[in-house]
Amino acid sequence: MTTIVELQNVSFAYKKNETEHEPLLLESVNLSIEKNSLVFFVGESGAGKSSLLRLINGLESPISGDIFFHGKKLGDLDICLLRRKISLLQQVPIMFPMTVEENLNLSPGAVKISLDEKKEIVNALGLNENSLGKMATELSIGQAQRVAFIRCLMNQPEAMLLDEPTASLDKKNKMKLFETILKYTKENKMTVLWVTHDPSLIEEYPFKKFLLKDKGIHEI
Amino acid sequence: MKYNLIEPTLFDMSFVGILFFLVLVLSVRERVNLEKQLIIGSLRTIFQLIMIGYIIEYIFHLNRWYIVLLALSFMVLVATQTATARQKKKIKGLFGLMGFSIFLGTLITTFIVTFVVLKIDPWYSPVYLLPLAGMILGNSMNSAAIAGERFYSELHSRLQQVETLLILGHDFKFACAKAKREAVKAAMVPTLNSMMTVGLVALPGMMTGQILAGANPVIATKYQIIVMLMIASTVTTTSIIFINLSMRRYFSKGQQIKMYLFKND
Repeated sequence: MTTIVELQNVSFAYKKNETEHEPLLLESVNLSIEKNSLVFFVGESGAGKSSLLRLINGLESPISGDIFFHGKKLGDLDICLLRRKISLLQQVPIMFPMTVEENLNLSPGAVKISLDEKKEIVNALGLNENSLGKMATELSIGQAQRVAFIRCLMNQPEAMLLDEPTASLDKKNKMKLFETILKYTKENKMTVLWVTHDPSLIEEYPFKKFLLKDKGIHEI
Repeated sequence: MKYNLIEPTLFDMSFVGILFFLVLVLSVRERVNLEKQLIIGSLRTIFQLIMIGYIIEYIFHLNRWYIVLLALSFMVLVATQTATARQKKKIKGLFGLMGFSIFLGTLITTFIVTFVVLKIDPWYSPVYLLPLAGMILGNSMNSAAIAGERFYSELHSRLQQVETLLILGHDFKFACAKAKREAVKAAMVPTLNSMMTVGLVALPGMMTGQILAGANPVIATKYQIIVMLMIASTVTTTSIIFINLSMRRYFSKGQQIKMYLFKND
């Protein structure tokens, strides 16, 4: 198996200003993620789960240590291209005040995907293809999160970083979206790093799980 | 028709005090509570204008290129300081960025107006260069200050959208293009508004001044057209230069938003 993402001795804290940092969130963390694998990250809020995904997506930089994507340091890669290959789905879907289709087209990779292919993906993710013409800001949170996920897919990413995508949904919709995303990523053999603060959601699934605690990452 | 310039004596001028007294009475009566500022403001107006009147007269008399350039440099410095002080967010290197933008924005327009349109001779003729460059500079300063303030507030209110665009794989220039457009628009709107109504509601200051000083109204009009267009030009160039230079200060090299710049606001 090839390693797609690797963290070596990574320590991280958010910046307070140009020179100072907040207290450490992650300290000398090591992690290796195999290609095409699906792993879950759990932990209390504030344990650094979202920060971990932000680091891998290059939205934050570690204080020390290195992050590798396919064996290359993040700092040596074109960060815009990296973010298209390893896509982050945020906890709260951010929709722009335009139609769903226009929202999808905000992804640079959308130009390579035909309208028929877009409709196919929209259907596969449990949305009606007519919703492409709807105003994205009028969607329910569950629908918006699906659109946000599809928008990530427009870049045809190798890996998905999912930051509690079901957190803002009620229990019924949470399970529905969870299963939809799980099915889609498995079928398309995507590498998935999935953060959740709800262990009950994942306990029945036989995937690798990591616990973020005391500034470290521990396999459970 | 012959135009005669009425020169008000100091005694005549003292009657303007009636207007000041009226403002003061109204301020007290309506509890605007601005009496102190009004007195300071009026004294500063009198002092600064008398001083600048004599200084300009002296520069006209000396008629030396290096004195003119020195005066212009001082004006750029004061404009930079003023525009910098008006910025809520003091990003790294703000004074330098502001100074460069105001200098370049002013230089481009001043060069075209004085060398290409009016062809002043000698090139440093203070009678033309100082008032024209001063007007250009004042507008340049305002546009940079408005654009900078607006860009920050636009970026602040759109942080999540900007970050979403970065996450999707765009660079910071694309991600904050909307904020940039709004900032440049905000800097341009006052000028555009005055261009729409110029001459219909009131005659602009320069034109009024020229007519009062005895100039032919047609010549004054020609100058005013030049002035309006040079203001539009400097407002646009300065605000675009400043935003283009300063926008990257809100992002790190790795296309990351410097979130700490937006904390506590």
